[in-house]
Amino acid sequence: MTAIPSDNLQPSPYGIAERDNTFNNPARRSPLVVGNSASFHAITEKICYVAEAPRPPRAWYIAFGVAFVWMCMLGTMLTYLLFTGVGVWGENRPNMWAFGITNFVFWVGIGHAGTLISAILFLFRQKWRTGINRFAEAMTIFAVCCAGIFPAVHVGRAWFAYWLFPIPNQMGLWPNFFSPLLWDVFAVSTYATVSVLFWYMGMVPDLATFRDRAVTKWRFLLYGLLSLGWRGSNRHWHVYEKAYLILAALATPLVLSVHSVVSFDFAVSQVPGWHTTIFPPYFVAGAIFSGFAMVITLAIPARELFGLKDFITMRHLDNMAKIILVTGSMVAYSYLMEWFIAYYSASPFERFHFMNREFGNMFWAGWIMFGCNAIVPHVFWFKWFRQNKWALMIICALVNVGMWFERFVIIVTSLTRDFLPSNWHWYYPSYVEVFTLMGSFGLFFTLFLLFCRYLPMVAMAEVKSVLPQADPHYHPDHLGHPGASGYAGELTPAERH
Amino acid sequence: MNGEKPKGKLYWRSLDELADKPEFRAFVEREFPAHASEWFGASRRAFLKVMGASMALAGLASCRRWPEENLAPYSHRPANRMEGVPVHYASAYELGGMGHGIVAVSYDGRPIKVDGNPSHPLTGRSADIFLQASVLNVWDPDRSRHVTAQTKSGTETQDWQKFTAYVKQHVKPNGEGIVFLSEASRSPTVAALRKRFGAAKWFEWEPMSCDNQRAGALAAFGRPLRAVPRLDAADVIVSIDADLFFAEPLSIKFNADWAKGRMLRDNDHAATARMNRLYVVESGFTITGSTADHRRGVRPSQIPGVVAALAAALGQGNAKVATLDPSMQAFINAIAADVKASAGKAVFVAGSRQSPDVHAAVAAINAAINAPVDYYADPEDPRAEQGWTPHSEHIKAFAQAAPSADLVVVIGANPVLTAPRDLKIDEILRSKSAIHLGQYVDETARECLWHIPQAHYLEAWGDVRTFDGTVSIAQPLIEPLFGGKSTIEFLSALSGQDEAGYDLVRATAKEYIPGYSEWNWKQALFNGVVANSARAAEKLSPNVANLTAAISRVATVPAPAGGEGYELALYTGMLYDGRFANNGWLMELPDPMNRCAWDNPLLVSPNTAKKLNVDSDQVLKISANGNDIEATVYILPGHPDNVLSLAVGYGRKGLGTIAEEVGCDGYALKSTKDGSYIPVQVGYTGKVNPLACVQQHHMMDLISDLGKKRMEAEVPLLVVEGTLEEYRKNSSLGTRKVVSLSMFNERSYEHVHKWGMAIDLTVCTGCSACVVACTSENNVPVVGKAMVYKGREMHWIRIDRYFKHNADDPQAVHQPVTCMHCENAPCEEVCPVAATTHSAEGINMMTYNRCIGTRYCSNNCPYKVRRFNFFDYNTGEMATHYTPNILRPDIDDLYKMSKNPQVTVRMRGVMEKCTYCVQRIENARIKVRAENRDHADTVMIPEGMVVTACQQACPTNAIVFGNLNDPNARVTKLHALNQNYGLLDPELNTKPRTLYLAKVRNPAEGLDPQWYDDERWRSKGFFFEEKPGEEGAEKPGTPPGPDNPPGE
Repeated sequence: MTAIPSDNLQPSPYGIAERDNTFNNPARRSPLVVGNSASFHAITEKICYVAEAPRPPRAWYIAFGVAFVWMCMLGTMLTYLLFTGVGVWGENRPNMWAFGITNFVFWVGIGHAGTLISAILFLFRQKWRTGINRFAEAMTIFAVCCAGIFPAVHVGRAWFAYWLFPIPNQMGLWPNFFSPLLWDVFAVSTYATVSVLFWYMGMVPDLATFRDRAVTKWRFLLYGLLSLGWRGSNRHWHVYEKAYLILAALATPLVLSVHSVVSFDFAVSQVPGWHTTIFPPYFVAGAIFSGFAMVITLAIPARELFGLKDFITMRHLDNMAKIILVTGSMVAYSYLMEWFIAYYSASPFERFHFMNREFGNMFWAGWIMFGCNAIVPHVFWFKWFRQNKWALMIICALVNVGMWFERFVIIVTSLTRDFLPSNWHWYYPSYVEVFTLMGSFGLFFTLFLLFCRYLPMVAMAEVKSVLPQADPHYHPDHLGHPGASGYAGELTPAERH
Repeated sequence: MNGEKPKGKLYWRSLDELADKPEFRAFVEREFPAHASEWFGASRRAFLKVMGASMALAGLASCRRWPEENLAPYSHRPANRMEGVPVHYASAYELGGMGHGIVAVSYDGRPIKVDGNPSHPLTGRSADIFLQASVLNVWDPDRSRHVTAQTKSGTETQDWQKFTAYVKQHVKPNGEGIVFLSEASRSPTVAALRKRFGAAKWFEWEPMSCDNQRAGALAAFGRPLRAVPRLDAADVIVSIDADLFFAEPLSIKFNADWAKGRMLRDNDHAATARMNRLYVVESGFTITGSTADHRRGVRPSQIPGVVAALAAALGQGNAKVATLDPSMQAFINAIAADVKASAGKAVFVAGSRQSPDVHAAVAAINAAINAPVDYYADPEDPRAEQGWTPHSEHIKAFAQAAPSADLVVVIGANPVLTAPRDLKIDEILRSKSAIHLGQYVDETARECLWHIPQAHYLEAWGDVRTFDGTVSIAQPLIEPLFGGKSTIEFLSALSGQDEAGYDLVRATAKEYIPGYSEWNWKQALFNGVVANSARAAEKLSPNVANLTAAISRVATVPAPAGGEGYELALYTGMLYDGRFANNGWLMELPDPMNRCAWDNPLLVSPNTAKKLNVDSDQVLKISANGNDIEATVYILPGHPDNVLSLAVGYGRKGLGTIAEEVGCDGYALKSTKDGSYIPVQVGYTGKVNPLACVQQHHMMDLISDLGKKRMEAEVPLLVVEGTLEEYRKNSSLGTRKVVSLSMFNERSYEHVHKWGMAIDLTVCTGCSACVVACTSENNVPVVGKAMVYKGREMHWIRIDRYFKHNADDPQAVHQPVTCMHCENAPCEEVCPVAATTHSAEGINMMTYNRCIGTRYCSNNCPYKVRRFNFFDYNTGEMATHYTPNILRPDIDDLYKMSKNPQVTVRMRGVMEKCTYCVQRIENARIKVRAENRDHADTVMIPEGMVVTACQQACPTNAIVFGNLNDPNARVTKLHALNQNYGLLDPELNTKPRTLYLAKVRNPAEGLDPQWYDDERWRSKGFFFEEKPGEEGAEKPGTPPGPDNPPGE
């Protein structure tokens, strides 16, 4: 990657020491955009450059190549599946669900962080969200894309999967509104729709910036179409901000509802290990937990690769690590509570299930889940782990492994040994299932890498709005005067220059 | 059209044709290639021009080529023929020389289901697995299709005419120089045809013969009589290695008779209820052993000693008895005491594979205790005329006689596979001119000069006698699909006459139909049995000296030479003697004891496995008599130590796609000197062959024994069991009843049927007839070993087997499990597309067309009775499940012909399960409504009109189905019994429609305390602890509720 043109950048109001001091003095917040990027022009230049550079960095090509091959593998596996039958997977009786639903719940879970960051943190006026919200939302949408594949292809007759939707028909046949799977259909499709809308709407001003900077006809046409005639007028901004707020308000309950509804697939049934009322909050916490882990997993390479360290600062990573710690503790609490309830319920089936989960034939899966989700995140109590990029990457990867296994344990371990001992049967995944899971990552990364290259990765307009300069009372000459700027007030005079 | 007007009715295709104009004639001539002579003389250019034009026009011409069809509409509908309405024919089936009366169901000329004939003395309305499955052989594409002959250039396809020409040349009148080897047949027509070959030698061979029993009778009474124990007249039944409920020729009758003495279906007289008692001494672990009240497993070599000890304990025989171990002696003393106490109502039955000596001794004991045993003579037996010897001797005589014969004729039998290998039957046949009549090109057919395809019994006329001499006439339901010949047609052709089967049977029928007339003949055909053709049981006048000698002979049977060596016992498994090896239904039927399908595992006890240091699935090399086989170990708790059991008929090559190399061939080890067992050496191969077991045998956990403990705690709740004594005191037997309150309005079943089922565990023997019957009725596909191994078998009814108490000396129980048709069906709630719903009559229905295959219903079903079509099991070849549909070779059309047209054949991706045979309910409804047109909407189907397939097949009447709204229905009465319980109902409130009647055994007092005083088994219920002596804990019957309105 060629160097970012910097000659006509505005100098940062902060010195190089202000670059990122998150860990130097936790008592004082570091700025949201650091280094010489903390100016309107620098933001535009740096973010647009990712999409406007003549060619992306070589690492992008390598990553895209790998992801694309894996995505093709997904296509091959799904084609084979649809032309042959669900039997090419390892499912059997009693394990009628396995990788398919595990992957579905896993990906839906991943998709939680984006909307949480964009909607809930927006409503709570958490300004630090602006640096990461765009690609977290993109991640959400791509994760939901991956998730959406599995319920559709895991059914025996995928070509009739549309019967899940309440489509008026001449036979007067409606879906069964008692079934949690149907609730899933509504919850996930609503979530996907709102997430896409939210993501796209938030992107409109930035797409207009792309349009305005376009030097080729194609870019002009495409970004022009996508930016929907945005002119940046006052009226536009007024409507935009209202709509954004409304969408955020709409999306917020969805963050909580979608995984609650997904958890009903299990909670409403009567399989020991599924049938438990703790599932809705537990699943939501777990989803946010895994979603943030995935955001960190994506953010660290992305900020290195595309020069976004000034926008996605260590402060962002630190904040997200803390959220992982909180949600991880909630998940751990849920695990312990499940054990307690199993004991306290005195239901022999529940008791057996939880003994079996930890000490039965698939104990290893149970302990991977417990170890990765309930124990490993607690290293984030220590600062070193939150500021070390490698540690963050490894722990977040472990969290995602653990969360995948959580779904696998809940689904498969429960089914392998349910009520009648005569039905107990092992489950082994087939190679098709394993490659399908890998392929879904290929799809996810392919979409993500395309997004990085062709769409504004960071919400430029929003980041600009949280710069000190955006404050109407911002006066760089009077830094230090109380009330001059939310940030300046936190700086000591010695640190100012 | 050659200028001559056709005679008769004239149909014309066009006005030109009608006019028969010259233009039309010219047109006709042009159309036919006979007039291609026009081409002569055409130049090369002209030829090419015309060819080019033809090519160009070929596309157009093809549009005019209609598929040829022959329409044969009825101008008058034949009697009893209505398309789509099944026709039932009585017919007969012979298995191992035993006649079975059947009723075959035919749809538009296709036989698709076989059941027992209610008026037949052996079958009644039920049928065993072999009878049920025999119909699939009609549709087996691997059956032999052509007359073949071995020539210098190999096997050549011939035809029947060539064969008859050969016969005319080589067969002398009187059959001189011919040696016959036939499967056992008690057909009067075969017997009559046999007389045509007066100078021929006729031998008979059955590998799984019950002849030793008759040899025993010969020793004891001087005549080779067939013993028929009347179990319904016995209070004490002692089985000496007899698999009464599965492998004996009279198994169907034994099941039914035994169950008659065990029905506990009257709570009002519970305090005085009575039951027979079954003792079993066996050399394996069979369903008879698991059903027994007391059981001991011993080595086959010890059986004569046990019989001698039993005789001694009963005061019979005077020979010195070898000392037995104390527990066995105590067991024998207990039996003896019981037998003495029920004088005249105790019976001993010895198993088919026991030696003639054992049978003689058992006959002697039975005679001494005045046991209810009938003896029947068998004059149709070809050996009756020539000095009777059992099959095991007869095959030796054949091997001696055949080398000097001019022509060897093998009828139906497969001696190359099944006869002791040291007789070298294959070499004998290869060296002679041999003719083979058989349904398959099997091991014997391949050694013979000629092979003639044998007609299936549903394709040919025939007749057969059963144990008491009752004749049944077999009538064909379909023309022989592959031009096969029945045994009688074949014999007729051999005698140079080539008569039709029908004429042959009618000719003999004149002799056995008393007062023969056209009417009587039709009556016999209609009924399936010839009235008054049964013989009276023989009056015996036993010779006391003979009896004493018989008993003393068993006492002096020498101990096996091998000492502590391993004894291999061959037994009749799912394939009978191997003749059903290519039958998918039987191949896929899990063995009721070891629960393995698609294999014949080598059954060993846990101790023996430990001694051999092997585990299940490991392959051992078993050698005896210079041959060896590789058999896969299955550890069967309760199996006697140092005994290896192996089912026969497996390990076939080149027979058909189903049978190909499944399991191993136990026959290979047998020699003429072996009796009831084969002393074998065991070696290791280091190979592993994963067995397709539908109930997992590797229940051992990796790091703990959680699963085992869980089973110990749970199974007593799933299979509620008590003793007769307990039943007399408290007929509810600790079954848990629940009063379930609902927040919702319950469904009402007023003025409609309310279907329900009861399964009586007391009389269920695990014989698996219901499973095959259901497979046959409901088009359940055969999925293959790989699928069964993965847990994807499709049976709508399964028979769970649980062991209890300790692994060395366990009891086992069988529990048929099928869809419970829950009132609160967990499956119905969760289906997103409403593909499974509750019918107005309470049936949990499955709408295949609507099912998209989310499989959520199966996950939520606590009984896991739902089956999923993971692949298109019904349309493609079995071995190609993993090939995409568009690339798969289509399944043979013949398999499609075997389907029941009243039951949808399910495609891939849909869920299926038991429907309570809803098609049978609808058939009955149509009939009843048609008969009561004036009040069709309110008429109820009377009791007995709807019989489910499993119920029909069940020989012990353990399964009862009917309308719970009918107070007089049997099922209503069973649902009112105190020993009723719903599986998992107290835990999950599913309110199943199928209720179980708790299993009651009848132990002798003080015997086997390890079973009957086992507190673990006795501690029933952790939800509702029943304190001893607390009367309030027991609630009589199901309490009144919406499901069970008061006043019923």
